[in-house]
Amino acid sequence: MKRLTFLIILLALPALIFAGGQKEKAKTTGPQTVTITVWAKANNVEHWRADAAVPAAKALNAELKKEGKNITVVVKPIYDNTPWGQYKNKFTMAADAGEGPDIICSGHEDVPVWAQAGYIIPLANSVSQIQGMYPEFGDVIDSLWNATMWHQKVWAVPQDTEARPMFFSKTNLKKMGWTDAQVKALPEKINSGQFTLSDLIKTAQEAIKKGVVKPGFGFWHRPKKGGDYIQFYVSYGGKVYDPVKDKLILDKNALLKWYQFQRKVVTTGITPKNYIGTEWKIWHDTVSHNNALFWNGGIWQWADWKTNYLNGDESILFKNVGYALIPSGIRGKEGNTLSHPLVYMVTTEKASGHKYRDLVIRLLAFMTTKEINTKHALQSTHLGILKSQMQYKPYLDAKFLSSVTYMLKHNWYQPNDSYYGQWFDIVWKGMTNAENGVKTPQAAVDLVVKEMKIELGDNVIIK
Amino acid sequence: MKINKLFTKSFPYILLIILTLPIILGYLWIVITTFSTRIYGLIPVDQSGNYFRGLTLSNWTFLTDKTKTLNVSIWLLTFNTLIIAVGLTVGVVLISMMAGYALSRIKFPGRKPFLSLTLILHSFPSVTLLIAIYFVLRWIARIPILGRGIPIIGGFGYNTLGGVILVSIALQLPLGIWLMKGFFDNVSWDLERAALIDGCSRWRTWWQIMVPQIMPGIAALSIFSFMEGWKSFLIPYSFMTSHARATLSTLLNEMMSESSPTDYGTLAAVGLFQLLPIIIFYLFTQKYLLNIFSGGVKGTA
Amino acid sequence: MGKETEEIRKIKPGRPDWFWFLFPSLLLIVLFFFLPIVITLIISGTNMSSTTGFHAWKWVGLNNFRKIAILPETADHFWLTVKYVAVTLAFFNIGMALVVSIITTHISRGTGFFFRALWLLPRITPTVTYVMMWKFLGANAPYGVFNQLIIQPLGLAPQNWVAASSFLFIVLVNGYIGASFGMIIFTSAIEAIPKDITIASLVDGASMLQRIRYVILPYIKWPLLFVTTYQTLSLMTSFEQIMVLTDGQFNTEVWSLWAYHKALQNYWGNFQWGFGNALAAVLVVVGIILGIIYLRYFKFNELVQDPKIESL
Repeated sequence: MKRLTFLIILLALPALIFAGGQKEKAKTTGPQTVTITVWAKANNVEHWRADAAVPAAKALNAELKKEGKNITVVVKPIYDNTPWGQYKNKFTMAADAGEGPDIICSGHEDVPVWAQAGYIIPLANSVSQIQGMYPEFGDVIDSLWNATMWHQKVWAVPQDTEARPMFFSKTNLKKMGWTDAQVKALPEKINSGQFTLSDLIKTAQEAIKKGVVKPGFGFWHRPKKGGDYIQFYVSYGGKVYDPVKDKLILDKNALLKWYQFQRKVVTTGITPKNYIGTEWKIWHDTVSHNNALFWNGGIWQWADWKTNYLNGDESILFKNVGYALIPSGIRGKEGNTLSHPLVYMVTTEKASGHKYRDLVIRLLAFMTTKEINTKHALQSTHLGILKSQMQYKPYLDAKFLSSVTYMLKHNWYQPNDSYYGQWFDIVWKGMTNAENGVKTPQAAVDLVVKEMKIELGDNVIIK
Repeated sequence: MKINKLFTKSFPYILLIILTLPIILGYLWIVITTFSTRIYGLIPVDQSGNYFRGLTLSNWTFLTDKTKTLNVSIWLLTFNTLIIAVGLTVGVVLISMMAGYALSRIKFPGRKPFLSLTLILHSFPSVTLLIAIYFVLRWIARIPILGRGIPIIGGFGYNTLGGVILVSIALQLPLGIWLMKGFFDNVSWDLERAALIDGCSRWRTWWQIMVPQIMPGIAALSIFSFMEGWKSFLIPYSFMTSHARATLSTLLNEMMSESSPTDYGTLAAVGLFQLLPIIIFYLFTQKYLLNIFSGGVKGTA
Repeated sequence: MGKETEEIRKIKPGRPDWFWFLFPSLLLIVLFFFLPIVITLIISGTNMSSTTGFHAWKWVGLNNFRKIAILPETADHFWLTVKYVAVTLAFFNIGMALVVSIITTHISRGTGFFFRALWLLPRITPTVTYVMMWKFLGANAPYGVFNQLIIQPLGLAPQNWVAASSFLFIVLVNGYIGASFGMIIFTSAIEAIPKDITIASLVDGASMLQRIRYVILPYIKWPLLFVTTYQTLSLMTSFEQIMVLTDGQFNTEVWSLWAYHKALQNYWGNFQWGFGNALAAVLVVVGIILGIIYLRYFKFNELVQDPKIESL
């Protein structure tokens, strides 16, 4: 960096004036006001990701007053609904310029990247240490801390999590002649690996044959880029990460089977041709109005369908829609689901331009309460993250949430590895090539392997 | 013979209509969508899919509510957009007028290289320089006062309206300079010579004699810059982090965001809201706007 | 004559007015073109990425460029870009622009103006709104307008045309914006053709096609070349519309979008500034080379004759 700066200054005389710079004046006496900014990527039903800071600050201020400290915390919650890539880009630039927020809510996969770049601070050296720090942190479901770890340190506090089920239309299955009991047993059959992805294809083909759904409406997978697809790679026995060697894995065999599956859904006519890239509006409209047989998405979409497509009438959804894990591709192997916990990270003094990191962490503790988190969980249909929520009445009363919580027993996380983004991009491109028939699945796999070697070299183990 | 003649006569119209069809249909779709709950093709439908039902004004409630996606008022965003557009227009026009005059009327060393340079920069891949520009803005941010101590526009550094305006001006400059030079080229030499002999300074000649002569050019450049500023997206988005300083285009982009409840009716309505002033503006000023492109290539055409 | 010049020189003895006239432009061009170009070239020689931040990066020499050379996808992006620029330019930015401007100048004035105004709409519409419109024109049944009005009445199978004919759509979306640029220039050039020539050709009984070939085209030769060169460069580097339309899916990732994705915009937020800037640097170099060729080709010197006052 110094070399770069030097060169630039040489090149640009005007830049010479730029010496100096702003430094925060730290007041040491008298009443202080500390402003804490929180950024979250959220839409209108997820705004508690940022707004959680408001009630939390109130509680924190009361506590500070009790302790006789002359500090008032003011929070600035900002939620942003731009695509993930742009959101992360904006944070990176802001943090590097020393204008980042104090708390950033993002996917857990950003932990290694931002930790390495020096934008966020480690919160504790071990899970037990952070659990002992504040009772609220002790309340967080143990396994979720795994998603916040990188290089044996805890870098973040979970905010929410979810499951990504395979949805199915109960009413359409019945129209095909399934009995109530058969429909009801489907999630369990998927769970135990008796109903596999090839059964899904067969069932969907049958539905089209019987005219229950229109051709191409048998299976609507997620229409756009996202981690969800890797679930099918996992279904075929693929592994993403080797925790012992701390390296990414590419399993050629599972990759090929997965690509073959993605191609097969098109050739069997259960998914439309050239389907990837379909507008979300069209996707939501189709699945929420019972026009498809199978579709895979995320539990948070339930709130979306209810609020934005069905005039708030959840009963229609309960009547029509069933949900289960993502079926396995191998008979007898259990289903899986991807969880992608969002986490709060605390930025460094340099990235935010502010001091008082301990106060920020303390605010985070106050944001991690069952009351606040349940509000978020209910409004956005995300899963809770606290042990106490599992006995908290308002949370238990949410019929949908309590009926999908079991999926967390079968979930997996994407790895906290700074090369995962590149790994994903290559695999995704290969998949679209295969599904759209641009390349045969085998040729797509070969290309992925070749590119993986060039882009990631030793950072990935290819099996 | 008669039919034949009718055909030859109407053929251009038919061809033109066919070629223009996507535009006509597209804008029709936008307008209809803003008044519908759901839409199939060009036909509004209601929740249960009945045709020609489900007309609504609810897509336009963003005008009075705080918008659903951003927690700020649409009018604040409109104001920000206006500041960028006006700032860009004033900056581009003034700076291009100065440079265009010098390049057209004054002989100095390095004039030709400078002109060829602007011609190359004219169509330079400026978007590919975004990261690098980010560094520059960060350095500007460190200049006292200028960096971030100016009211309304914030300053000229990273994360300020002024910074966004400055970058936009710079990227627009090559076109502006080239255009202004073209217009100055067409002003009579005698007029200027007379002024200079009378003892006017270059600056007075420029401001009092020359500038009034190229008003059509200035109008054209102003309108063009204003439109560019009004719809600009990538630069405000990349270099401003605070929501209070978002623009209409950034709002649209947020509403398009993937994997979130996208309300396309409102999205189209906001788009139309942003487009309408420009269309009205355009209708009143189109004859000046046409000068922008013709001016630059006049004389040699 | 020479005397007069001397007089002027006396009034204005050697004060570098031109410098101050040019100063603001120079400053901005240095700050936002020169410096960024230099920075881009520098960064393209590093491994700078989100992981290294802007501080912990290392020099990697020409490694990024070597990577560009050996990646299998490079050829795809390259040929797609060439194809995209050539097709859009030929059929829209030049072809369509020419057709529209010729027709609208040969029909009634009011109608001509109306259609030209319609053709300018895409240029002044905010990108997101404009692209959304195209998405729903081509969307699958029952949402898409083309499917509803054209495909289904003809009894053909509806589909998502944006995905099925992705290349056509990126050409259309950009072409309908790009055509208006040439249209305006050609229109004013055609209108500037002296009336007696047009009338003469009418008296000779020349057909429309002959008129285009022998009267109009020779007259608008220079604007044609200007539009071609100018639009080649801007097509080569513009990606905003493609980004919003397909985001590079269905083999529509042109070179500039590839660079943008790598450096600033990818799904999991792993930005490879070093590699992305190397891709951008390739464009910068191509742009400069093309620019220089055009300057030569256009007899640039004729265009920038010396100012008359000082050389009277």
